[in-house]
Amino acid sequence: MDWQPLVLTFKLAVITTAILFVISIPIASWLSSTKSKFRPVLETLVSMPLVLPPTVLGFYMLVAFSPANAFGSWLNDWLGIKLIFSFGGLVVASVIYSLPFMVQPIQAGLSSLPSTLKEASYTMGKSKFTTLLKILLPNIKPSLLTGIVLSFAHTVGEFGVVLMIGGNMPGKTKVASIAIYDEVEALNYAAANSYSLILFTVTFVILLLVYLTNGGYFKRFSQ
Amino acid sequence: MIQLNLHKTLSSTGGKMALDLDLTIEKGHFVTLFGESGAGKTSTLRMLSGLLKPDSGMITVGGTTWFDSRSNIDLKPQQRKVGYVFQDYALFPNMNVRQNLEYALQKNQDNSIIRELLEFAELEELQHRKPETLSGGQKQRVALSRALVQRPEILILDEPLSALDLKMRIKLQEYLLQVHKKYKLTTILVSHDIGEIVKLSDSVFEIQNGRVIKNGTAADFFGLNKTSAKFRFSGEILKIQREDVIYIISVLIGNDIIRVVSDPKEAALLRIGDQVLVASKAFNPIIQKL
Amino acid sequence: MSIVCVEVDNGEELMSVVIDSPESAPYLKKGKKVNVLFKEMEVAVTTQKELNISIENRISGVVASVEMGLLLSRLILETNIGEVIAIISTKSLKQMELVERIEVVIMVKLNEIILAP
Repeated sequence: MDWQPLVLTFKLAVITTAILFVISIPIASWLSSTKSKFRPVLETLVSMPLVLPPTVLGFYMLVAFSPANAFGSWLNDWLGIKLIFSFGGLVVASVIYSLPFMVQPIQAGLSSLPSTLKEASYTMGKSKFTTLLKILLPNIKPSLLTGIVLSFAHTVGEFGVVLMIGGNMPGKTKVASIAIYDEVEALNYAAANSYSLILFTVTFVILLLVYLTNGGYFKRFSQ
Repeated sequence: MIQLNLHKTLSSTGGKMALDLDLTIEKGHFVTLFGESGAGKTSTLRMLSGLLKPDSGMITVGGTTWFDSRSNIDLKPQQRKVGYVFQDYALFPNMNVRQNLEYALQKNQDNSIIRELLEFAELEELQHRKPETLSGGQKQRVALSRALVQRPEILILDEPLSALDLKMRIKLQEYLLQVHKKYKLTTILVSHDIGEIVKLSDSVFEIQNGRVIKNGTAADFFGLNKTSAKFRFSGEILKIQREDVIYIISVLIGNDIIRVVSDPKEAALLRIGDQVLVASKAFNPIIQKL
Repeated sequence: MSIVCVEVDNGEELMSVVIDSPESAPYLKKGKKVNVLFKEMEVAVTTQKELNISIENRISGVVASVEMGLLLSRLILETNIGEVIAIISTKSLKQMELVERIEVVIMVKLNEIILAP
């Protein structure tokens, strides 16, 4: 069996989750505390991947990143970054595609904390950053775990976006979900089954661990 | 001296309300804001501490301007460093008692104050406990101690004792008074309990619909100085009971229940739960050594 | 400590002893208006006009109504200073044969009078 697609899948999932974790905290923190009129707009944008067919997202990213377009050619010419049919492109697409799965649990967690916690910290002279790091985040650990696991699992299961923007290049963009599709196309059911079984087992174990450690929080959130 | 001149349109459950306040609080005084809920007391405290921005007005504290809408001065809560004790205590659940206090230390501040405060509030034995394992009175002591770590000049207490039982309330009232004197604070309290207000505060501001409608010293405010009677207490009516041609009124004063005889004419004006003044001449009570 | 004379309605005068002095209580000034309070239970009632007794405040009046209880009775009296309520024991009420329209004198010791400015 070719392990490369599985390795690629988990590499993509780990990198995507790590990037999402870092960028989602400021977004969620802003969304949970702002009264700005742009909030609904940003919330909608963040949530779009939940309802939009992945192919739509993939299509627009394909168009945007294409060297035939201004943005794509700028990336290519000035930064030397090629996002279509590359692993880097997959990461960018996955980050956008899984954004709501990280932002929403963190936002929900932050909103559930009494606002007096951060106000108390502010009156003690502590900055917003210190307050977030030392007070807010440590008190929403279950939400952070939920966000990490959901984003990870969602990236592992990604298919449409990856196919659109990454194509099917072995060792570069051919992740497990695409390998499964490939093997089925080739009527190679045994190989498809091994990939599927591994994905199934890994995802099952991760989610089970979350349910066990999170004391039902995850269930409450997903409902 | 704290001078507040605040204008703000507040939206509450009952619709919009225009808060329009003028307050002057002397340095070192213990002051109470008194009034119905929704009158604007908490909003006033939040504006003083920088957690809520007034639409317009001015806040000056000891000659320093904290807020001035005309010259665009608006100090952040971090710069105002007011000791604020929230109604829900706002203890950090991820930290134990000692860590809650230590978090409030300022840069380069000597941490000997932590031990002093823990000792003063009798919290030493609880210092390694998490807030969730504490009783209401203990949480309150932690919240108060934590607010004092940064050595604020102004201490804000938003209904600090309302959730506690009577015995704990009386104990903490004593503690509040000690703290106020020991750390030479200007203390601003929100409270509904007349007994508590009279016991603790130098002066009272009554706020109604966002405006100060009455102010004075606590004793004057509730009419306690309006009689020459020297043997006087305020309390709450627990029971009104007819006996023969008179009524016997049971009144809770501190943690004692006393009983006072009343004429039917007066009793008709009283209801259970009313705050009342009980007074007698200094010549009447007998006194005996225990 | 001071003893204060208060002129009430119809030229009647009441005396009160208070711990305050004019220095400690600014309301203790000649001509200042005060309210006078005393407890119904402290009102003594007599039918004898001239009584050699150390009760300083005496006002004559007429019994307007009597409400008799088992132990205590409540008298409403019409006096020069208005309506006064007295609560006395039912035993005394019977012994003194107090009924409506009887002329009486009410008495209150000076340490029982509270002044309210």
